Parts: sequence; structure tokens; C-alpha cells
Amino acid sequence: MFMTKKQAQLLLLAAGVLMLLFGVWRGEADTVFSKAIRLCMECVGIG
Amino acid sequence: MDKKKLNPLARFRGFIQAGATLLTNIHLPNFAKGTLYQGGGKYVCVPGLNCYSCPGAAGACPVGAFQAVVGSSKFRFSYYITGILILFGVLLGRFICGFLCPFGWFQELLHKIPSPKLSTKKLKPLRYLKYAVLLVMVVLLPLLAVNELGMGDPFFCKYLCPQGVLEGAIPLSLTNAGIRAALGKLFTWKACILLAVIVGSVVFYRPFCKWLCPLGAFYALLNKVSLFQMRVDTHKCVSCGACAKACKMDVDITKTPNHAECIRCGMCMKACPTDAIQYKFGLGDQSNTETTKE
Amino acid sequence: MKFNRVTALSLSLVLAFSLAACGQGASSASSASSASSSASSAAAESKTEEQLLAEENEILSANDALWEKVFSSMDKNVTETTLSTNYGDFLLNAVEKAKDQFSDEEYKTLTADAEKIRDIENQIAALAPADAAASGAAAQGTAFPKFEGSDLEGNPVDNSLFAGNAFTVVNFWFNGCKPCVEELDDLNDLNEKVKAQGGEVVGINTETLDSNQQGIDAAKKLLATKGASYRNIYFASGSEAGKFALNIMAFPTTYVFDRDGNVVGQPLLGGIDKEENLAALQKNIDAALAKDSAK
Repeated sequence: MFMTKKQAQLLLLAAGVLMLLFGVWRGEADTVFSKAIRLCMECVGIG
Repeated sequence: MDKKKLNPLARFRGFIQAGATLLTNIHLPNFAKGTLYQGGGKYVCVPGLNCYSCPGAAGACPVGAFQAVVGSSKFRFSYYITGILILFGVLLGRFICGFLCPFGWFQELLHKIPSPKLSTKKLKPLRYLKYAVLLVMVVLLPLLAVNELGMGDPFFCKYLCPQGVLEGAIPLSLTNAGIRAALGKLFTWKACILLAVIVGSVVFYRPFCKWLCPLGAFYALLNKVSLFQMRVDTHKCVSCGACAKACKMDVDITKTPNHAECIRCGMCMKACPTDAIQYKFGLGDQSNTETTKE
Repeated sequence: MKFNRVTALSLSLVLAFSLAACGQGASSASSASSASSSASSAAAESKTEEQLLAEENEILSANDALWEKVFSSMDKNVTETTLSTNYGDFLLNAVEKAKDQFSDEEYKTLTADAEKIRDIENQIAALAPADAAASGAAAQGTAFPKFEGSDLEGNPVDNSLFAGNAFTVVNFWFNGCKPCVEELDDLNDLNEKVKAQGGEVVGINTETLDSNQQGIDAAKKLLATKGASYRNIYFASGSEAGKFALNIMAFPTTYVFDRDGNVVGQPLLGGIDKEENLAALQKNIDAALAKDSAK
């Protein structure tokens, strides 16, 4: 292992937070919202 | 002999699963109204597999949300959802599968139905299928199979996910004539998948989680590094093999404490005669007493 | 053990429903579902309303020649008052105005017919739920509410949109909805086709409401890429029309409205790039055309 488990955990936690924030900044959360509040039928497998 | 008291998490797992399912689908009146919750909760995804077309759903489905972003013309990858999933996974790993996923609970309830039960020990290679589902249906196809505008279908949701039928299509068709009328060949296909999973869950333990679930596949990748871990106290362990026998996910915890297939359900803890297995939460490797460094 | 029985019972119900839906599609799924849902009671109400409207049409077509004369003499302006008056009263007024075109007997027939229609209109109004305000039919989802809005170029649009067409096909969509985008070109083709019949296809993109510039730009881009030139409109989300649009949950959904903005048939869920959906929509269009020519 090139890093300890603890280092890997901290790295991943940081990565997770950063990715989350970056995604929100570029508008991904709005896309999620616009799809989640509506029933895009084919997307659910109706029709 | 000391009376063994099972860890409360493991003891009340069924209640926790029920509670998680309820919280994930808290908007109960919507089932009767046939509408979806459209509030702010839908900006965030829930940890388990829960269709956002479910009338009661309080949040978005992580898998559906990921595909929605990747399948949109604006984006080719979702940092937002992947970031959330990494956080969930690093904190809890497949504890989520064992305690917080409504579809996992559904399969376990089905498994309680009396029937001949089949072991999945000899079917271990099927476990790799879920990684293929994750890679191909959730990531690659929405990214690559696009129309001229760069829009892709959410392939997993559309062609495979049984949870969408159970939580979305069925409740909505019961109260909405228009949706009923729109049910066609795709619905038939998906309903057959649901049926197969239902029948499979009676006979096998959590077949969808083992073989098909892309969310489980993702969390499985993070099981080894999650803060929530399983610890085997090697001083207490007498190598009786009771844990491996009790494990329905076919994991031998004494050999591989944080195996990718371990959903942290605690059945091994219940079976252990010397109370050698414990839940642990924290940074660093806490999987056995030999290496207790923080 | 008790838990097992309850589980087994509830799961067999789930199985029953999925079996009912699997393979046989719409009809058995609807028979498997319980009856007392608002959807079915609304269907029962609108059926009676349809029957009543059909009666009106019969009355008018019974004395076709006479009514033709009345119609051609009528003031063609559709104003606020004409829209909100009882149709029977409206006809009575028209007959009064055209009184000298008819013999005494013809006048009596026309007045009697108009009064019958007024009664029927009252019956229809009584069908609407008690808490429905002025927008009774609109609240029920059986008519499009009065609205004021614009098309995507900024030109003003309002209810007169319906009155100007024999029928209006209204398609609800949103930018992120792939099946909605897939049918845009088919909707454009449909628009070209129905123009000759006096109809029009109009789109309402729920992300363009409240003049949301981002939504409008994205919508315009999608429409341009798909070669769709038919009108797309928007209005305030807080208005009655906005609520109608926001109530729509399944996309794409396509309604057919008649000249008065009443819904014809059931809304169609799904894209018309699929044969069976286009056929279902065509049925609604034909019904609207028939209704319009009976007037």
C-alpha cells in the first residue's frame, strides 16, 4: 500500500467534498432537481 | 458464562431498515394523490436505491440522479452525485445496503417467506455482474449513446431498475389513468424483471444486491476504506467457523473483515460464540486488534 | 410468525398488481386497481359533462339551418363577457339581435332551443366541485384557465389563442426530458398538417415559465435543432394557467383543447414519435374537429 488506510480515508473524504461542491457550482444540482421533481416517463420505464 | 448482548444496531436492524424506508419515502399522502414531492429535498440524493418517481420519495435516487446529469446535454460526468456517493461510501460503506436501502429491506422481507432456500456460494462469479451494470448502464451508455443534442437515456433506470416499477410505475398507475394508459412494452419488460427479483429474493438472499445493483457495486468498492468497519478480535476468535456459516453474503469475516460483499448486517456477530466480532467507526485500520493504531 | 403472514399478504398483493400489469397492459391494470380514486370520479363527471355537451350539439344540429343564420349574424368578437356568460344566454341574446331574420315560429323554436341549452349549461356548471371559483372547469383540469403570456419571441399571447383555432394541440415538455425532445420534430410535422384543418400545435415548456431566460434560451436551442417552428408559450407560474402546467407531472403530456379551451378526450402521456401515441392523439383531434363542426 502506498498510503495508510487513514490517509486514503481522509483523501477520499476531501475528494468527496470537493467534487460535491464543484458539481453544485457548475449547476449539476439544478439538473438533478429538474429531473427528480418530474416524471420523465421513459426514464422510469413507463411506456 | 456472560450473557451476550448483541450490538443494538444489529439487534434493531429490522426497525432501522423500516425507519429508513419510511424516512426515504416520507411524503405518504402523495401516494393517494398520485403526485410527486417537488420540494427542496429533491436537490439531494438519498443513500439507498429509491426511485425519485416514487410519490413518497423525499430525495433523488443516487443512480437516477447520476444518469440524469451524465445524460443531459450539458454534462458528461456528475461530480456532484459522485462526490455525495463517495462521502456516503467512505463514511458507511455497505452499511448503507444493510441498514438504509429500502430495496434491500424489500428483498429481505421476501426472503422471510417460507420456501426452499438456495445458497449462492457456488454462484460467486455472478457478483461481478453488478460492476458491469455500473460501468456500462449507469456510466458509459448515458454518456455515449446520445442523440444529436447530446442527450442520453438513463439506461439503468429505463431498462433494468425494478425499484422504479415497484415504487414509481405501480403506485402511480393505481391513481393516474393517463399513466395506466401509457403502460406499454417497456413496462412489461421491467415488470417481469421485478417479478424475477421478487421470486429470486424468496429463494436466494438479496439476489439483486449481490448480482445487479450498481449502487451496491459502488459502495462495495469503498467498503475497504469506510470509516464504519467490522472488527474481529483475534484474541477472542476460536476459529469455529460459525460466522462464515451464518453469513448470507458468503463472506468469511475472519479472513476478510471488510470484504466488498459485506453489508454489515451483523448476522455473524449474532452467531459468534465468543463475541469476537464488533462494529467500529473511525479513521484508520480497526479491523483487528493486532493493528490498533489511529 | 404474525409478521410473516402480514408480509406474505402484502407481498402477494404487490405480486398480484405486477402480474396484472405485466403482459396485459392497460385494461387489466385498471381493473386490478381500486375504484374510488379521484381519477375515476373525475372521469365519471366529465363523461356526464360530455353527454350534456352532446345533447347541446344535438339540439343545435336539429335546427341546423336556423342556427346557421344566427351564427353568421353574430358578433364574432370573443370578449370577456361572451366567455363567462352562460352559453344559452349568449345564444338567446344572439337570437334576439337577429329576430327580424326569422318568422314568429322560427323565433319561438330558436328561443326554446337556447333556453334548453341554458339549462344544460347550468347542469354542467353544477357538476363542477363546490369549491371551484370562477375557474371551475379550469380547476378541474377540464379546461385551460384564462391566461396572459408570451411566446418565446416575446409576442403577447392569451386565451384568444384557442378561439382562433378549431382545436389546439398543447404539448407540455421540459428541457431535460429526452422523450419530449425526441418528439419535437414530429410535433412540427403535426402542426403543418393540422394547419389545413384550422388547428394549431402549441408547446408549453415548464422551464420557461416566469420568463426564465435560461430556460427560454435552452428551449429555443432545442426547438431550432429539431427544426420545430410552431409556437411555444409561457406565462407566470403563479397564475391559474401556471398551476395547470405545474400540476403536470408526467412528460411529455399532450392535450387537445377545443375552441373554448375545454379539454377534448384524455391527455396523452408519451411522445408522438411512437405510432400508438400519435394514433391516440389523432382520435382526440378528430373528436375536437367533429365537435367544432357541430357548432
